[in-house]
Amino acid sequence: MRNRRSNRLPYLLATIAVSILGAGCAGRTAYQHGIEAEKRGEAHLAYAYYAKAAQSSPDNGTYDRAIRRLGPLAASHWINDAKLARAEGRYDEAWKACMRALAIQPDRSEALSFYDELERDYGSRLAGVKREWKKSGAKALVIQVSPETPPKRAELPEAAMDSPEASDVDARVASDTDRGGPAPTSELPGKFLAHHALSRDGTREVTSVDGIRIRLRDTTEDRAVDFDLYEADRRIQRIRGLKPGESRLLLSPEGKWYRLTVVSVDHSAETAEIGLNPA
Amino acid sequence: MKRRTRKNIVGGQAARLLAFCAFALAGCSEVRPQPTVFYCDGAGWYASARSVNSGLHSAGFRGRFRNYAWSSFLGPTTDHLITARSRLVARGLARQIEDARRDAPEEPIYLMGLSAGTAVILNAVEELAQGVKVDHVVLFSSSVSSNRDLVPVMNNITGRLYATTSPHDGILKAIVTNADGGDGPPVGLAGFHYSGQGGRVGTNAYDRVFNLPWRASFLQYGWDGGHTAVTNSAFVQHVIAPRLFRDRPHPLDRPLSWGALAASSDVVDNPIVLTTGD
Repeated sequence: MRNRRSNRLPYLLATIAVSILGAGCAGRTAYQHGIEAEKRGEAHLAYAYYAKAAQSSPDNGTYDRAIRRLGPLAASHWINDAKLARAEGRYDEAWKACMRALAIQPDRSEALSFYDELERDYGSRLAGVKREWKKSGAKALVIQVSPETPPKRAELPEAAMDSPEASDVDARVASDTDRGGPAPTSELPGKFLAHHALSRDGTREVTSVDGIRIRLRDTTEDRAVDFDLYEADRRIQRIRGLKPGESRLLLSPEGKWYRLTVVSVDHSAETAEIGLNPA
Repeated sequence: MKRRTRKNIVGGQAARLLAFCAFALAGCSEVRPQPTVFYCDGAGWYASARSVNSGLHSAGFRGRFRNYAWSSFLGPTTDHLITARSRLVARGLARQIEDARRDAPEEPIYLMGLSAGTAVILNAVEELAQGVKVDHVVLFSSSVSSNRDLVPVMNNITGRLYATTSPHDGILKAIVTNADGGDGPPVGLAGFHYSGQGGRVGTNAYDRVFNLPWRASFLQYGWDGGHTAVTNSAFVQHVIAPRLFRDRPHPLDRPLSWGALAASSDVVDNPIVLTTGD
């Protein structure tokens, strides 16, 4: 009996060691995925990976810093999503997106007031989703996201223009224009801070706000467009398959976040119009 | 005799106008009474009151913050096992609460405490004289039993009771006896449990009890899941205060009366299912 116990001990210790190492390894893998998602400008996805990494290692300073860095951006993403869903009459989705924002920043006043307004104005239409929340908890908020899935979110430019950074960027754009550089034509469609028309035969590449270099790679028959982003001669980000109305977050060389939205795509002329706003 | 210059006359009129405006504004705006907070620190840990007070102030709290010193100064073990359960200590806090209620019947009263200090709070609430009630209660890393019946406590609380929990609380993992004297898991590790018993009375009571489990997003506010880090001023400011100063429960709050899922936080922090890479 005693022998059998002592025989099991090494296996038990090995199992414990493997599970500890496994947890650490899973955390590192999640963190790496978070870094990749952050480079692609998908703050909400990066945050989810970082949170997953930190869940089992809360005292890891690297995960801690990543969570602090991405928290406000990820919450902003969900708030914008919530506003868009409400504007399109998808109140259940608006409610869920708002809850996701609050899960990240529980005292975000914008999210709290949005939630209260949603309850006040569309309370009766939220009965289903709230029943689901009561029954299955936070599982009601889950959505499946794959880094390969192109984002299906359009911009709410007026919301972005309200941000305090917008005026700073405006000033910088104006000074770039004065210098006669490749400045964005911010006065074109009023809803974007910067607006560009790109063509494979003409202006294929522009330097937009904050030094973001955008190069049109291709357009497709289904009105999707591919871009590459460069810092000096180095490609730093690939954006693939964006359709009109869809958008993607970008990190400028100066460290500011912007949202690139596709306004229109003309495959026959191989042209695309895009707009940028602070995210 | 003092000569009144044109400048003096204009200045006097301006001052009167300002005073009138201030008076009118004060009359128009609803002045909400500021709460009084009673705080009980943990056993052998006497340093958290300051950060809790600071966090509340950063969130706009302007009321009185009263630290109830309950320690025997015979060490944390004595405090945890004996002093925290002393009826004398609980009665002392209950009398202070009753006095505060009598002096300012309209002012909200919040009770907050850490670790074994939460036992003093719950015992004091049970000791309150008939008709005396408090508004909200916050228990940080509570070492009382998860299975404690909260119906008698909630009878004397008009608002909500929050209890933080964390699987990373090393101190609570190490204790053998909880602050109620039993060997069951402490609230700070496992959260309060509601068995569903007690009929409508039980449901009504546990409708206002909320576990606040640790999540990775709380790292933003300085709580890494540790026993005392939960009293970090940023956490109090951004997570606790919004719940206290809000008329309704926070959107994410799930009362225990909703069932076992109320205590779960597995997904709330990660509402995105990652389809690759995990």
